[in-house]
Amino acid sequence: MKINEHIKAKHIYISLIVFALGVLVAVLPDKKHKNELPPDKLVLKLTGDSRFITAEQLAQAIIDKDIKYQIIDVRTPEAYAKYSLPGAINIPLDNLLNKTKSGDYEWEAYLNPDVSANVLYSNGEIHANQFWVLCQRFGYTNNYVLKGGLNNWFDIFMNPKSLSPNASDDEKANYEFRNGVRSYFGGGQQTSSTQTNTPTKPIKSKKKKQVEGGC
Amino acid sequence: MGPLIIQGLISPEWNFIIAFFIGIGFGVALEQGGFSSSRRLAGVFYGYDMVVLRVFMTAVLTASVGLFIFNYIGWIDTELVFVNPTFLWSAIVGGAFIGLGIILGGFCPGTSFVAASIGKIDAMAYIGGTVVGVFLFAEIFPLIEEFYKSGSLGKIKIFDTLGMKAGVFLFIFIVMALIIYYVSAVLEKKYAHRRRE
Repeated sequence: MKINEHIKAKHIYISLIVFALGVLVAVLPDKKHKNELPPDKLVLKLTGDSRFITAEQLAQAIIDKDIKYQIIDVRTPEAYAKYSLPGAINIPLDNLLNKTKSGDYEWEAYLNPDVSANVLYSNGEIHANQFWVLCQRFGYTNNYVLKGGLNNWFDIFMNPKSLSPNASDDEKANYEFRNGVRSYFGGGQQTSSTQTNTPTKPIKSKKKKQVEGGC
Repeated sequence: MGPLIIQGLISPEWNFIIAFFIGIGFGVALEQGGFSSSRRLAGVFYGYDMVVLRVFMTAVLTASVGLFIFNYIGWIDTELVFVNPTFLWSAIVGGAFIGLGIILGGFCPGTSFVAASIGKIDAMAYIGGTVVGVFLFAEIFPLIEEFYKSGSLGKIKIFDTLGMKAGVFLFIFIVMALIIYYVSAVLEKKYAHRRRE
């Protein structure tokens, strides 16, 4: 069948299908993907020590009220409620992949900060490291792991070894510092039952502001 | 998921093997579509045969709609797809040169290889000309280097430059393509007398 000398009916049908496809792509939103860190680069980062922050560095930052660091407790909410480091927020490892209704990762705004850095801790290092690896894969680079975790924190600050008589000046200074930290955090043998804290509830799914306008 | 090579899902060695077979498929498709005929290619410029224009328009359309939808459903990340950087002035002059080359020779570089593979002597001469051209270009490159790199705009995409969503641009492109299909059919009828078999 010919509509006019140039167009046949089949051309009209195909054109309508193509046009419908055009309408579909016009209404679909542009989707941006999260660029994941390639596995080889991840392995390189894993073998290095640069992801760690030591207990002393973190203690100093807390005492100095350094706003550069946001401390994140990756343990369960129960463990977090019993004891956590001052100012820490709780993002349990199991909840890391939670998504909001709009399909964004719930914690993205916290885990991908622009200027500050996150310090992740768990009891040991394993869970914090797992958390760190997932963050790296998402391309969130401003995350660090507390070396030795909470166990090490307690060992060196709350139950410090006594200083040997022939300790070097460095060791003495370090001992003094640790004692200072211990008294700052309330000293002595902290047990989980003596220091509980009201959990700092993070505001969920804080959206990062999009840069507007520009050239 | 995609692009497969950048994401490390296909090794660079396999890349060549896959490209080899895709290349053969492309060549066969061009030949079967009649692109090995220089009359057909020249027909676009004289207006009596617009198949080449329609085929390439359809190819661009299929690829762009496909990429857009694959990106939407997560099969490919278009941010990772290689974008050829734009050098405005050299692109304009180069485009004029290649247009002149196509109308003079009756082939574009790809179709000249297709035609040579089925034994067309003019296509072989065309390939010879291409090789000489590449050689001359390399020899005079120091003289034209400054111009070659002029108008550098980086890896730009047209919908970003126009400040619209990729999907909206694609829609406009589809409407444009449908109009071009129609106009090309009208032109073909009008200039049919120019066709010589």
